[in-house]
Amino acid sequence: MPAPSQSWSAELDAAFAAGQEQVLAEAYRQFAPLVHTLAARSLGSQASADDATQEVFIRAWRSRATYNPAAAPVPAWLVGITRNVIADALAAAAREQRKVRAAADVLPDPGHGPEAAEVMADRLLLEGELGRLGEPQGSIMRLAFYEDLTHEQIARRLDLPLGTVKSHIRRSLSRLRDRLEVDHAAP
Amino acid sequence: MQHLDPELLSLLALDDGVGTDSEREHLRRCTACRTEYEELRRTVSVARTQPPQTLQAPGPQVWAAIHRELGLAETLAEDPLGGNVRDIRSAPPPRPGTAGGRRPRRARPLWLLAAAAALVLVLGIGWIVSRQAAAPPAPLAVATLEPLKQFTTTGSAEVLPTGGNQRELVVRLSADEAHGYQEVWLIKPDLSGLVSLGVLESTTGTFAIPPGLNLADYPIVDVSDEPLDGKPAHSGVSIVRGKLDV
Repeated sequence: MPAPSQSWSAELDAAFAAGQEQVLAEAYRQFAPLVHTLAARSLGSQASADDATQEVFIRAWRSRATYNPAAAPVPAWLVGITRNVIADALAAAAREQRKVRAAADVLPDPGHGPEAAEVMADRLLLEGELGRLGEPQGSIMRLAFYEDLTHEQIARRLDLPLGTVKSHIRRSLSRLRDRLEVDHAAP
Repeated sequence: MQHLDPELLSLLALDDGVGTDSEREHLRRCTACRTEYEELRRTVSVARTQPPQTLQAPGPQVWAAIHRELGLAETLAEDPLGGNVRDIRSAPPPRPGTAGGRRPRRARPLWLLAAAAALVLVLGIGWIVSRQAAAPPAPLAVATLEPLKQFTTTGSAEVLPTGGNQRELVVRLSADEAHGYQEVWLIKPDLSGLVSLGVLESTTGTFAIPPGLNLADYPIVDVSDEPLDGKPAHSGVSIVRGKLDV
């Protein structure tokens, strides 16, 4: 399936933190396919991915008191939980593996692990942060990231002085980097 | 040699094509600059990570289990993904968010009653809105999509409000004629600027419009035929195009 239409907002972050059940359903509608796909890639089976998806949303709702809208948008937080749930499932599978001494081919592909979920959680975190940069910083960084424009092309496109674009890029990129260093604190 | 300028490090991390040989040589040897560069580089690479293009939805039993386990309201029993029906347009989202943020978080006792009443009102409105949302909202703008040379596909595009000042573009085509894959763009009338909204996998698709994007500046809806060459730019081959009536 294609990705469901996504329109998450800071209002929904706040409503989730405030415990509105409808927002959990909306989060599920928008992000359960992403959570499920990340889990299926790491865990290798639809059944395990179904279990992981269920666990992610249950964990998210039960831990909503620890959710801090200022630290991360709900989508990034959910994917952070996905990373942890995948890691837990892989650890459990490895324990089981040692117990039964079965053949290596039933182990999930170690190449995927939770890293893909980690990168995706960070990306969603950055996406939220891009929206908070303000303008023209947000547009400058989107052009640099997604359209691969050089700072000179961006300056021409947005009709801004070259020096302004360069200093916005430096400050914005540092700020985004700093955001990634903050732990998602996902349960 | 002195350390590299922070602006230069940022541009290097973005592959901006800047930097002299001696500056790059400094980057290879200087641990401080290198560490800074690698952190910025990782940030760029994370930002440029593409989400998976095709997603697998969990089965309807997953939401049923969550709903049961958490004891959610009966009105939320239906799978938000629409059960086995994967048509995302047929499952309009509840729109609970707008009033939620204003609800006082740490209510004093005097506030409790008002807050509870407000909550009932909010949930009631949310319920009514979600019931009414079965009829799609009126489009903010529409475009008729006409084929360009060598193509015969026609179609339409609609800009729909999605709450919280967000907008989405719904594209419907009569056929998929791409040799590679279809990508949806919003373009300035003089073609001096373009924004990619994403990949259209079949003949219909829904795309979030970047907040703050002025559609009057980018009124042209364009669906291109993109080869799988890893180049993010428009291929120059458009299948259909049309102008939004903004």
